[in-house]
Amino acid sequence: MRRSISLFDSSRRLRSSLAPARLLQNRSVILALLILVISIALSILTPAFLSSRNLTFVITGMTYDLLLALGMTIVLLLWGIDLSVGSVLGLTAVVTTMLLQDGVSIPLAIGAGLGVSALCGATNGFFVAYLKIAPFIVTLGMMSVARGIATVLTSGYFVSGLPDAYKAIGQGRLFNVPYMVYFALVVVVILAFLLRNWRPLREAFYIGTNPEAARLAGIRVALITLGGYVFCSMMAGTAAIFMTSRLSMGFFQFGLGAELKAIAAAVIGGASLRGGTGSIFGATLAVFLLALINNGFVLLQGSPNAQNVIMGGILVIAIMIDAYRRRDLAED
Amino acid sequence: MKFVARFLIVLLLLVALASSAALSLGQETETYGMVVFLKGSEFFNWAYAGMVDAAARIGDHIEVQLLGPAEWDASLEAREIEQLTARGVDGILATAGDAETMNASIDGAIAAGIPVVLFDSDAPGSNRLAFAGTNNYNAGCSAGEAVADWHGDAARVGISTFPGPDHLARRVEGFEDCLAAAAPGAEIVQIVNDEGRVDGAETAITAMLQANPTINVIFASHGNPGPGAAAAVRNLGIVGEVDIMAFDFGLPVLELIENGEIRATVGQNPYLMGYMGMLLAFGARHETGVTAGSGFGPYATLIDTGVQILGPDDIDPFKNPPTFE
Repeated sequence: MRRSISLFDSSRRLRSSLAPARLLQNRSVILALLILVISIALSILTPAFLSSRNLTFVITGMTYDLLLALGMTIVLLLWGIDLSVGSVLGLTAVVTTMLLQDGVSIPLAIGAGLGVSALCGATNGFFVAYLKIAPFIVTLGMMSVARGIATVLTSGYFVSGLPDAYKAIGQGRLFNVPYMVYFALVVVVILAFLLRNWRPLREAFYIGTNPEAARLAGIRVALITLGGYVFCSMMAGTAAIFMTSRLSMGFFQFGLGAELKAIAAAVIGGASLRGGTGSIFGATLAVFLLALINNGFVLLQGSPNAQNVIMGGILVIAIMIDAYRRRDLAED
Repeated sequence: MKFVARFLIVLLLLVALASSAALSLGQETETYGMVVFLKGSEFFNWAYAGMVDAAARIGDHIEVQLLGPAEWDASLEAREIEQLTARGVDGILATAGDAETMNASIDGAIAAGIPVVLFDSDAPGSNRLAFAGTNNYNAGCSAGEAVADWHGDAARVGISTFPGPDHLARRVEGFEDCLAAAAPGAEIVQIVNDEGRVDGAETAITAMLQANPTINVIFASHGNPGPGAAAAVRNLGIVGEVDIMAFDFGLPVLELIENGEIRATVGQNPYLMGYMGMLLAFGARHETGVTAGSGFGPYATLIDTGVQILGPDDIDPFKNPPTFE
C-alpha cells in the first residue's frame, strides 16, 4: 500500500514538473506569488500595510478562518463536505460560555464545548460513513440543528460575564502576538507533517480518489471518514473557544456563513470538491490571501458593497479552476 | 298572595340574572397575542413587558399571551398568527421575522376582522393596520447629534455596517445628515463592511483605525459592531482615545459601557413598542361612532417609539431585563 501511494505521488510530481502548462496544479506556488504581488502593491499604495502591527492583526484575524479551513481540507480530501462548521462553532461558543457563566471551571467548560463539537462531527461522520447518506444532506441538517440548539439555549441573548482567565486565552500575547496565532501555526505544521507521514491521513487521499477501491485495498474507509468529520468539527470548536475568549462573549450567530469561507479557502488552497486532493499549506496560504484582500480593501477605502462581490468572485474562479483541472486530469 | 310573592321572587331573580349578564358582557374577557421570533430574547421580553403593562392599564378583562418560535423562523410565526386567527382572538401584535413570509397570515387575520399591529420589524406589504417601532433614520440622526455634541467639528468618524438591510442604510443616512447639520466640519472618514458579525467588525475596524489614525469616533450601525469595535480599540492600545457609539443594549454592550470601553449606545425602546402596540390593537378592536362601518376602531398607522442615547449613568434600568415563561 505504501509503495503504491509513493508511486502515485511521484509520477504525478514528475509529470507536473515536466509540463509547464500544469503549473496551475502547484497551487501553493501560485498562491505564494499572488500574496507577494498583492503585498508589494499594498505596501506601495498604503504605508499602513507593512507595519508589523497591521500584519499581526491580519494574521490574528484569519486564525478562526484558518482553523475551519484546515478541518474542511481534510473533509474535502475524503470526498466529503461539511456545511455545519459555522453552526458547530456557534453551538460550541454558546455551550462553553453558558457553562462559564454558571461558574463551571474553565477546563471543564472548554472540555464540554469541544465534546459537543466532537459529538456533532461524530454524528456527521456516522451518517456519512456508515449509513452512506450524502455529506451535503447530512451536514446541511447538522447546520440547522446546531444553530437551532444554540438559538434555543440563548433565545438570542448574548452570553457575557466571562472570567478574566478565560479571556486571556484569546486576548493574551507572547512577543505581542496572540497565543491563538501560535496555536494555529503549530496545528498547520503538525497537520502538514501528518498528512505526509501518518498512514491514516495518507490513506485519506486514496479514499477521496476512489472510496470503493480504497475499501477493497483494505483501508478502513468508514473509520477514517468518521475521524475526518470529528476533526473538522473540533477545529470549529477550537475556533469557538478562541473567538469567545477574544471577544469576551458568546453569541448564537457566531460562525454564521463561516462554512462558505472555509470551503473557499480549502478549494483555493488546492482541495477539490470531488475529493482526493488537498494541501494544508495551500489552505493556509489561501486563508492568508483572502485576509490580505479584505485588509487591502479596508486600507484602500474600498466600497463595502464591492467587497462581497470580489470575495464571491474569487470563490467562483477557484471552483472553475478546480473544474478545469479535474477535466484535464480526466483527459490524461 | 302566595302566587304574587312567588312571582315577585322569580322576577327579582330574573332581574338579578339579567343584571349580572349585562355586567359580565360589559367586562367580557378580551384576548390579545404577541407573536415574535427568538421568543425569550431580551429585546422581545422588553416589548412583552410593555404589552402586559398596557393591558393592565386598560383593565383586568384583558388577557395577553406571548407566542412564537425560539429561533428566527418567520414561517413558525406565520403559523402562530393563523392559529390565533382560528381562535378568534381580539387582536394580534407581531414582529416580522421576514415580511414576505408573514404577509399572507397577517392579511388572513385582518380579513377575519382581527386587528394586527406590527412592531419593531414591519411588514409594509401586508394589510396590517399599524406599526410601532424605531424610525431608523431618526435613530441614526440621534447618534449623529450626540457625536456632534462630543467632538463638534473635530469629529472624525468611522462607521461599521454591512450592505443589504434597508434599516441599516437609513440609520447611516440619518447619522451622516444630522452630524453634518450639527457639526459641518466633522468628517465621515470611512465606512467598513463588518459582514454583520462581531469578529468581522473587530477585523475591519482594526484595519480602518490603522489606515486612518485620525478617527476619533466609531459609529456601530447595528448591535454587533459595538463589542467588535471595543476589541479593535483594545487591540491597538488606544482605549479612551476613540469613542464608540454602539447600537442596542445587549448585556455585553452594557458591560463595556460600564467599564468605559464604549461611551454610549443608541437604545431602542422595545418596551414602548409593546405598550403602544397594545393600545393600538385595543383601539382598533373597538369601533367608535366616528369609525363605524370600517370594521375597526381608531388607530394611528405609524408610531415612532424613538431612541435614547444611553451612557454610563443611564444603563442601570436595563441590566435586569424582564423574563417570561
